[in-house]
Amino acid sequence: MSDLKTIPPTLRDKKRYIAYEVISESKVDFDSVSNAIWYSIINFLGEKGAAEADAWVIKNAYDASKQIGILKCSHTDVENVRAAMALVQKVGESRAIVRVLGISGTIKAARNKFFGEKDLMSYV
Amino acid sequence: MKFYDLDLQSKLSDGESTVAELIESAERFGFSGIVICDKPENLRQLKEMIEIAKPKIEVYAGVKIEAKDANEMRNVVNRVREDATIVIVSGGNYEINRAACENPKVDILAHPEKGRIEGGLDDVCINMAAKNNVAIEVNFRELLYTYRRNRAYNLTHIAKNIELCKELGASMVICSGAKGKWDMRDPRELIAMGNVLGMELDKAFAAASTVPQLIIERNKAKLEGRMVTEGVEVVG
Repeated sequence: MSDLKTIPPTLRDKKRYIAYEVISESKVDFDSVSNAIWYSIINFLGEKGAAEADAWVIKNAYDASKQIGILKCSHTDVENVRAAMALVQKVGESRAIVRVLGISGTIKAARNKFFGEKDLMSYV
Repeated sequence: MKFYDLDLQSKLSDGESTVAELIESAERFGFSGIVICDKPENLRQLKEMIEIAKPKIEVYAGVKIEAKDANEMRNVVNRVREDATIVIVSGGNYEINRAACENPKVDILAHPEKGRIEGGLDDVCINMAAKNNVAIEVNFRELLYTYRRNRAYNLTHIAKNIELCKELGASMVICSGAKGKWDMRDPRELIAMGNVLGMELDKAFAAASTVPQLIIERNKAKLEGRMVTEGVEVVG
């Protein structure tokens, strides 16, 4: 059995990456942030809405020290996901606010623009 | 773009955060100005606390009126109008909603749908509100602390009010209605909520920026004595 073949770019779903920041009383880890955001999205949009929004909280992009991370969603549902993220009031046991820093088309651009990270292309 | 949040409550009334904490949060979220609205009897104390905090952004003192009936509301509005920059009437009761819409001294009618089985506003109210420059508020806190069925009801009612206001030309403002710094949200998130509830994006932006700015400037002109009457202003 071979692996799943990559779908050509024209047939792929269009997506956006939302860079967010978690403001909280105490330190929170990725799992509780992911749970809180998912809970809020399912509560606000319902299971069907969440499926259409195609949300994905990216684990590798979460920086636990600065409490910033990236979430992927469909390009048509950015506003819905944003409203759902605003309704988060608790992450784990701590009171929290999830604040959207900005929206971008690629992870790389999101990191460069909103997290202030630099790669070699930034110096060209 | 300048963003404003007109409906915040501090520890002086039902809130849990101090004035300084609210101002700090607002600065962090990038608001250009906020209005802290506490009970009428605490207005002087609130003004002193704002002066002590030395804010970098514009901070004004307002009043949020929770009256039992329309008569009491009218009396309190007449009493505080000369001192408060913003007068908000806390809605919910149809009698009070209607009286607030009919009163040109009121700036904002907050959560007209609170505790009701419908939106709390009919076309008569909204026509009067448009005529008297009373803005109808979309209260974010009403959605933040309700769950499941109640939140669904609130979403329906607020969406209905937005539709009516759009149709009949009344102005709308989006406010967080925060009672503490953990209820405050980034202005863009409030706008997203307005957009999801049926406002067009430009209208939602206006509801958090230009409409509140206009209300504040109009009231400042009145309080400083520059505006003689509606439409007549001392310029030179």
